[in-house]
Amino acid sequence: MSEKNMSEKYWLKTDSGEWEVVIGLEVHAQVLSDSKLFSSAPTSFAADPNSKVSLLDAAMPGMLPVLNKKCIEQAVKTGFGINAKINKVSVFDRKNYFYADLPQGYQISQFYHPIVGEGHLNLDLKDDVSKKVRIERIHLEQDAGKSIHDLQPSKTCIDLNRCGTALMEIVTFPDMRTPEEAMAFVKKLRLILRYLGTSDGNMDEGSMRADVNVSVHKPGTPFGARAEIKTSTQFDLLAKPSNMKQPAKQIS
Amino acid sequence: MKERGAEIIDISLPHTELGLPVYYMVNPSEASSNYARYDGLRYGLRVAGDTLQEMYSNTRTEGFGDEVKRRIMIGTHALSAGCYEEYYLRAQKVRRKIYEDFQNAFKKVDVILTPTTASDAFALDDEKMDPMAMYLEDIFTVGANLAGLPGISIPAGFSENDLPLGMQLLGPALSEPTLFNAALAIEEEASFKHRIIEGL
Repeated sequence: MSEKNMSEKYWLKTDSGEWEVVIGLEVHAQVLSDSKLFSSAPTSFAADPNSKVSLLDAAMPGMLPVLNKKCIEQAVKTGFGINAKINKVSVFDRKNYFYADLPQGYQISQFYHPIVGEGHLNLDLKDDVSKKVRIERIHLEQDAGKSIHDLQPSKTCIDLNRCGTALMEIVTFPDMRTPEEAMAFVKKLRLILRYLGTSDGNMDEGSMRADVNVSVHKPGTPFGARAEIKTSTQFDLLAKPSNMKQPAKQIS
Repeated sequence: MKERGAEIIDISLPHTELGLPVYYMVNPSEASSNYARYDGLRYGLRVAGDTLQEMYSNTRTEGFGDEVKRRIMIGTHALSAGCYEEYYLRAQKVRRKIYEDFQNAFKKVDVILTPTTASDAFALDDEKMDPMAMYLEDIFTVGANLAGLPGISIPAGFSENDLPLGMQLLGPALSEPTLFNAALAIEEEASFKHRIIEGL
């Protein structure tokens, strides 16, 4: 990266000197498809609770997953959209954990062999500055159901409609240095997803969510330990300097 | 068998003895994941608790038997971060070797004949009924499971304790018709009769 391509410096000033902020993103985008990643249940936002749930989504004994071809096509298309290598062989793995909105007791995801390999996006920042952000991978995985804690005083309600819906997890390298760059990345990515018709990128409905990994370091030294800020669904949250409080804590 | 036209050829499955450690790594791992869905939330037994964690714990403590719990614990450990590569992944690699053994053997023979178990049956109150001894009994049968092959066990006579013994035929994937025919031929030639043993 040449110096003239750098955007305005965003360094945190403290008693111990200046610290550079390093940001990486994990963006979850719901795949636009008629049915779920491994079942024939329809994908739909705002349907009656538990009305779009197949026997597989509810983890009935003996049900076996059948991969949805459309979801693979959508992931490959997205891979082309971010200038990425498409892996001709990719493998699904189970991520095991117990939670009430995860009926199977595991999420089917891709850990070792994702469907899309390395790619990049070029961000157009202000003052005609452009910046390349490298993308590490895109993998496909199942979304979980929803736990609703505020409907009843002592009970949690579970809605499995979203359970098993296909997500693309788009993982960047830690290439961003300011909240504005992170925001520009998400906006550019959303534009591409929408143009390709592979995700509606709708943050209000939760069909696009971003985990932000932030660390700080002295410029020119190795990266520091990272803190993860979970599930931002609003652009301004991403860009808010107050979100930098967490990394700032690490300095002291 | 020779009388029915079979040709007897000795073969070797060099990784057979690794079958047991591999099977008892892979099977508990799969069990721990596959049984996660029996959490008391949607179907089956539910034993109440004050929190979700407690309900899980109460339900699964009461609902599963000892052997299932044993396998879930072994499997959860084998799949845990830091152990996965060392245990589960390594077991999967050896599993491939076992599969290749069978593929090589089936270049020479149509079916493989082995004992079904290493000894005759234990009594229910036998001291040997500990889990490890039970696992060792599976040495001849786990290979088919690991390699994804069909097998058929047929009566083969009686032990010196007058207990029934079995032998098994293993064949390549989708060779069930051959296995049924070969098993029938053995049954007809050997003409094992049912026996009722007094005083057992």
